[in-house]
Amino acid sequence: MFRAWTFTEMPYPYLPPEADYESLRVTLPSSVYDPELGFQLYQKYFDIYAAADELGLDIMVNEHHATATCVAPAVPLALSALARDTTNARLLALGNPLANRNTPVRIAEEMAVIDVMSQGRLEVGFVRGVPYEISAGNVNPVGMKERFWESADLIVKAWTTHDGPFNWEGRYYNHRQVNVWPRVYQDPTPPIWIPTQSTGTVKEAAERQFKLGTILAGTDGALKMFDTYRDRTAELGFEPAPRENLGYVALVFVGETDDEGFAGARRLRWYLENNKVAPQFMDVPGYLEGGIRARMLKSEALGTPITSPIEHLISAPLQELLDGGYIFAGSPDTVYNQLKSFYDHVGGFGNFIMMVQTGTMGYEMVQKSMELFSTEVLPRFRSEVFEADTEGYQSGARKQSVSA
Amino acid sequence: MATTTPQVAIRKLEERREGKGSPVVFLHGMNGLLFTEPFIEQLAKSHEVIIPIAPGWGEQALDPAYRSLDDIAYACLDLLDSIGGQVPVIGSSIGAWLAAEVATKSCEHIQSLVLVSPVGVRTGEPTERMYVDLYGAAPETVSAAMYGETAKAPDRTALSDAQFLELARAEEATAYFGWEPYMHNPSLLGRLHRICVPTLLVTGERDGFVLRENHAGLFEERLPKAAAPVVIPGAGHRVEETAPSELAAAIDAFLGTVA
Repeated sequence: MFRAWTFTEMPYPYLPPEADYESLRVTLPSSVYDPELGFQLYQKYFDIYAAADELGLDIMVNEHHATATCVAPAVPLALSALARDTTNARLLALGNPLANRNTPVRIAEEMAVIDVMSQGRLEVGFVRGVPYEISAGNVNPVGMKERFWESADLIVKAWTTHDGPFNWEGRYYNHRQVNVWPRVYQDPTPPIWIPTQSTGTVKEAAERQFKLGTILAGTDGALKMFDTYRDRTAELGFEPAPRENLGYVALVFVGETDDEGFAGARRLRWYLENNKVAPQFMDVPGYLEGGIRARMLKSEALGTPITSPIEHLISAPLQELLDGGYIFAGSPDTVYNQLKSFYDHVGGFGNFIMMVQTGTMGYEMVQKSMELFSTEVLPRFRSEVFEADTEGYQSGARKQSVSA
Repeated sequence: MATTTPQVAIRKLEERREGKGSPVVFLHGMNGLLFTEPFIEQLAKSHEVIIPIAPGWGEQALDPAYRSLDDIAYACLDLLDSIGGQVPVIGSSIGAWLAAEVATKSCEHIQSLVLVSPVGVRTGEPTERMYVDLYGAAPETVSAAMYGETAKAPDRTALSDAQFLELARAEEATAYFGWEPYMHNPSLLGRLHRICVPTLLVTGERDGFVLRENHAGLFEERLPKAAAPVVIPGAGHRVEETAPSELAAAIDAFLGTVA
């Protein structure tokens, strides 16, 4: 089934002028944060998620640390409230930063509790994390990938072992009596996701047949990621993976009219525009493979410093963001057509993860956008595009030649 | 009777040798041998300079068998065994930390020790920073700390692609071995008294990386045979890069007193 997920990073949007701080990540003092406003913001964000549940939409949450852009430093906390606040929505943690936490068994426990509390509505992402989480999490940037996969393997084993404790003495993690209570609700495990923007990690996700989420890669970027996943699946001789294994995160706002939708889209741009990160937190030795970082050091030395992967989106005209598949906005018809075109271009996918709120966008406007999406875009898209596409699984290139 | 060959647990360190004369061992700093040629040339005028390259530096990727500086220290002991006799050991920055680790384990093959801008120890309140956080400070702050002033930092535009790769690897290895506990071994301070050979401490007057006042004193007061410390005017943390001739001269003067 095609699922539409709603998402807010739970930002604290009342920021001083950008010139007044060095970095929105890691070093911004919490004196900027007013806890009473913070309380009101949490009310709003959880109200938005409750509304999404009532509208038949699903819910995604994430976590970041030491930042005003996402005041949600622990996915299990948001999920535990949502497990009680909601009834039908599936709850996706995208994701748990495995390499930044030194307690995989604790992560397995937290997620198991949410899975049972929500009666099996949990989907669990394992995320490697962006470079500016390294100082915030105080984790060695070297060997993150190895730690990540050892932690993932340990968590899956912890969820699927039901005959008492097992021993784990790995390179990075040691736990001699692993015995997770409660047992996860879903059998054998909640669906597992890997959010990434790296084709290397996409291949590793395909090797385990975990679900793939890619964020703001644009239409061409998403096609590349999805094709990498599909190709790796085929290479390994697996059955073609269902479209439900592929997800895409974009900014989404639906209005009654195009103008109303575009006005909402302009408010969503806050997310792109507010991400000032000091260079030392962007470029951490060991985070990237040596050869790649060597090329970055060279271009930096030659006067072309590295920038955020979404840097080019910050000042792009709205139309370019709409055309490129970064923002989906307009009237219900416009958004439907944009989504259909994206679906065809990327060769089909099964999860549309919508950042529906950012900056100071209020409850009413977000609720209305979600309602228009859930009543006028989603049912039509499901029947006329997703269910009508009986081929289900094919590469973007093949899909386009079929459509042509 | 059958003899047994000792098993080599970890692979031998790569090494480079320069010059002729009495041997000295040089343990490199955070950037490996990048930007240290003038210093090595100076030293090699009167010595055979034996330079082990720690795993992760030079042309080598990190080796999972080396999990900490302690592992490298044991490989250095193997190297000293193979050289035989007693040789001076010189280390700079993270290399001075390594030299101290080696010497606390055994001075059997160490004639004397030169610790240039040593790191590796920590004392004080939890909120006190001992060393600049390389991963939290602005690049220009780090550069000024290392070189005394930003303008003295080496010109990177002239590096070859291979050298950029070497730099990327060196910074990765520094992060790997220095991340936590940050740039130190909590046990080292309590072991320094075991260093029973004459030891010279050299610091750069403008070292901004070491934040603690009289940091060298932490070593000096624990070393049984500390020589009068040398402070090199104008030099930053990377003394071998910022004052190569002065450093080589200070080393030769010291070695002259202990020969």
